Amino acid sequence: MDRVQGRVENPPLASTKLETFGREVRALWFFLQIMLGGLSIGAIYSLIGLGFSMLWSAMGIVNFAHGEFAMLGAFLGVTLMKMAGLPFYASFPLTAVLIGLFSLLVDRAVLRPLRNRDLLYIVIATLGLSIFLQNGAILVWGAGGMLFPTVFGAQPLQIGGLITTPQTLSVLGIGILLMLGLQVFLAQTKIGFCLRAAVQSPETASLMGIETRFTNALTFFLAALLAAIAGMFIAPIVYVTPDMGVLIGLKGFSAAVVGGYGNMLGAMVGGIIIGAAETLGAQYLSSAYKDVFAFLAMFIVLLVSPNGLFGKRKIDRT
Amino acid sequence: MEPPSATSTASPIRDEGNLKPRLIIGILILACLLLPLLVEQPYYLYLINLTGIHAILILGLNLLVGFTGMVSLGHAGFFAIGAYLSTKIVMNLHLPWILGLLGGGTGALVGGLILGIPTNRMKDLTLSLVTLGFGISIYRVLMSWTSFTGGAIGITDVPPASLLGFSFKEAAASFYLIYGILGILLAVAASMAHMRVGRALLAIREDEVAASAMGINTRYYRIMAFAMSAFYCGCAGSLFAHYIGFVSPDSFTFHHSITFVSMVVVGGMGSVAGSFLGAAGLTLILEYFRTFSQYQLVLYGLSVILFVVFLPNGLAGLAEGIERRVSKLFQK
Repeated sequence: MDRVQGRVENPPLASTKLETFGREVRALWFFLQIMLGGLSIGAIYSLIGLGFSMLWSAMGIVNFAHGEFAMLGAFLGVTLMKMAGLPFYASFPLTAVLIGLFSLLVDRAVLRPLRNRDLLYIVIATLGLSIFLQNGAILVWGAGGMLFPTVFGAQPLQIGGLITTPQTLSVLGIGILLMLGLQVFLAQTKIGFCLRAAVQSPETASLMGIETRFTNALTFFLAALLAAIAGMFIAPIVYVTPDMGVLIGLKGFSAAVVGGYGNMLGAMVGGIIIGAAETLGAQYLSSAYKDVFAFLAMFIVLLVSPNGLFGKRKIDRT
Repeated sequence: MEPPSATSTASPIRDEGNLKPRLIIGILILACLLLPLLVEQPYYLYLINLTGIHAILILGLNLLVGFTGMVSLGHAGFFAIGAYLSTKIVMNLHLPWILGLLGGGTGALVGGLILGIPTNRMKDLTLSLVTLGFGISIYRVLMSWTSFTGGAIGITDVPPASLLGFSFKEAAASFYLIYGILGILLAVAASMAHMRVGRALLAIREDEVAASAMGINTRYYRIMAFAMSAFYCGCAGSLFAHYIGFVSPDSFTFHHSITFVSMVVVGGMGSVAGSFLGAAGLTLILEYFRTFSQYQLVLYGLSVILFVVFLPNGLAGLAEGIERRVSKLFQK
């Protein structure tokens, strides 16, 4: 920022025109800086939204307790690092895998009995599950919350005119890498191929010898894994509390719906839109209404296109 | 949402059977009227009154969820609009309470129209997500618009409801007021279920395309259901504010919205009687679990899951099953 100021104000012939130009440039840099923060929050929402979309397209279910996996991931991450003293690079994948395994248990206990029932029952049951997990977390870790150690460093960095933290950049970077990795996994590996086949048509896939029970479990596992990672990413920014999962989950869900429910690319783009809307709104309008801006963005997108940005239009035929 | 199968959802038409033994109903009503005289502990009376207020709200929500299949996860927002508007009308404009009640209800109705008209094209999950966002946004506004809502502290010393000079200060008096209004709204909902409106809504729930082919203006009925449901919630909000005596954002959170929808499902979707059973069931369970202090909400969450998994037709379905068995017993 300083360099930008210097460059514009130093010339002796600084006319008013140049000054306004300088102000505009500074405003632009500032905007980009806010935008970067929005993108990194958006990447977190994308990871959650991806999970929602995967579950929907694979099994036609919606898990309102999905945000709780992010919360549990954050708590478990802190516990492993602080209590067990594990280094970050060990506790990070361990936590993600443990939460993934835990989600399989949840699937077996709550969601499988409801698989063929009306969607509303699944919504209510998973909302009950969300209350259960949140208050279970209060019992285990207390309601007060914990501080997640900043592993990437909170020391501000300056890149060109942008001031940012390594935290923001690494969240953005790793988030994008994970999403790309998932795409490669789905597109290139045999298991990914099976997963996509099972999503497209469960019956045909099982006729082709694909064990759909296995692919469903794997989908669940991957979705929860992504959520746990998202939880550990957002934890240093928001403080780890038992109720942190609710809004993260809901915004992740919004991201999935904005992008077109069930569409993976859509979930990623949707996350970015929600994250950018809330960060920009909080910065330029009012930070108290941050959540309102996120949902307003979703509302506007859905008004224009009720099936989301990349959603397929369903045709009603009878 | 997949079209609900015929067995999984309770049809409101079944209530016709429940209404037939008028004698039993009459005795029940009489017993209910004597209830506040018999209940000595004020805490129990408070619970009964709270159940009544919830029942009004759930009735409204059930009009939407049970009759049209649209799921709203933001009805605490309408509840809040009713509560705050009514409080403001009575406290700041010094108008009688009945206008507060109607104003709160109408305010919520307008809110329902504002939300219902643009979301008309949306379906299922999209709609529930938008309503959810609405609920959370209302909560944020209550917290942040301090000059109007009093912020996180809310508004205290809300005067009790009064009608024609009579003030409903006592819990027993409030009981008659709340249950009187519940009775009126229940009658409206029950008769609606058998009129063109109710049947049209049911037809839309079962098959929207077929309904519109039969000449039902689906757009109109869906919006109407939304607005009516919001109106019921607004009325419940007004009763709540004046009964409890203060309003604060804590009573209108996302969790409340969830609880309300759970009450509908636990009670029995599309069943008028189920609305009351659901409201009573979950209100009492939540209060009962209070004795387990920090385990309260863990147990609550668990019981919601168990209800949904094991009682697909809700408490109304269970009650009906018992009734059928008992009547079979007598026939033998």
